[in-house]
Amino acid sequence: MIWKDDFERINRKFISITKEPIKDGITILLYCRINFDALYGLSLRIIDIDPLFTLGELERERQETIKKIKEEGLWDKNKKLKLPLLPQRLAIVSVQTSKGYSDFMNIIQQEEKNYKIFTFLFPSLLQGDNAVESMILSLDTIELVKEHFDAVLIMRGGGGDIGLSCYNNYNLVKRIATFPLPVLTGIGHSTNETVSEMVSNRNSITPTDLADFILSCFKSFDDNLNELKHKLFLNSTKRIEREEQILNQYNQVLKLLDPKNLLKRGYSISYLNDKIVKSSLELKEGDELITLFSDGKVKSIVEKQNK
Amino acid sequence: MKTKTYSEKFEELTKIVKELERGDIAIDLMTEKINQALELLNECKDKLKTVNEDVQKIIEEISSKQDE
Repeated sequence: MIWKDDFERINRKFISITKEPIKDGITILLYCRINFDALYGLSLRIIDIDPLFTLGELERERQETIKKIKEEGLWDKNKKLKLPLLPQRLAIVSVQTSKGYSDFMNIIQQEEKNYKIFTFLFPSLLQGDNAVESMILSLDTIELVKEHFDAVLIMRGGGGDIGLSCYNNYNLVKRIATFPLPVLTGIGHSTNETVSEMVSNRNSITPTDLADFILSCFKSFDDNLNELKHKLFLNSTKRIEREEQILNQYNQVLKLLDPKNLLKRGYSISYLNDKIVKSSLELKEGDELITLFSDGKVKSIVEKQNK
Repeated sequence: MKTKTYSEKFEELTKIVKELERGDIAIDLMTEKINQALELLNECKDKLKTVNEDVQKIIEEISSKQDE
């Protein structure tokens, strides 16, 4: 037996050290007084409970879960699942009234215009005795409709640090590690990282961080697209400009070399028997030349050869 | 006859221009070669213009789709 005042005192101390209330299923070390009364018989009166013993037990459970999951080769299983480039359909394990959930939804909804993200809430207890069973049940339900989702998000926040040992429970951790969809966690707390968070595909400190992460996937994709568009535009324009430049250069060269233009500048071409005369030595007196100007030709006869 | 691609035309054009620059072409053939080159040049320019217009159109399309 335990007196109410004793219990309140013990429980307060217990919570402040173990971050867990005194509850069923935990191992405790008692300090008690044995009474024997002729009328009521033997009784044990609990005077104190050593929270450090239970803390050790909780930590032992945590370590045991880590060890078992690792031994079974499940540690990285969920981490190895590839999160889609745009995680757009999210199954959320949380509670409508949780502050974490509303923080998350607020951030996602702020970007509603830009990014369409579909969320569906699978309500679940998130701390305390029945949380393990409840969360596993939600995960079971999600698995039945897994084709409709890209990822599972377990989030909680604003509930303080009490009652989080459920996240170290072997059954829950195993369910998360072996879940067919990437499981992302955002279980706001300031205690040691729980095993559930360790085996998850990705852990964010809080639901707010989780929301930021989801949005960052979309934003970086958006940025990439814009950059690619810009590059596409820049490179194709550059290429076309370069080709144009070369063509213009060629145009200049052709103009420069065109005999027609040479003629315009005062040069002329003389033909002897339909062949261009390239040297005065080819000619002798009396030869009949045809000389081409830009605007016509003339016929002339060589009078004298100046050798 | 198969129509020549831009690259083929451009290559041919480049070859003629280089020949002309080096003075490899006999004067008698020059006018003919130059006319041929000018024709290739104009065809290349036309093609480039079409490509440029197409690229602008595509990019405008992408932009307008993104803004939807």
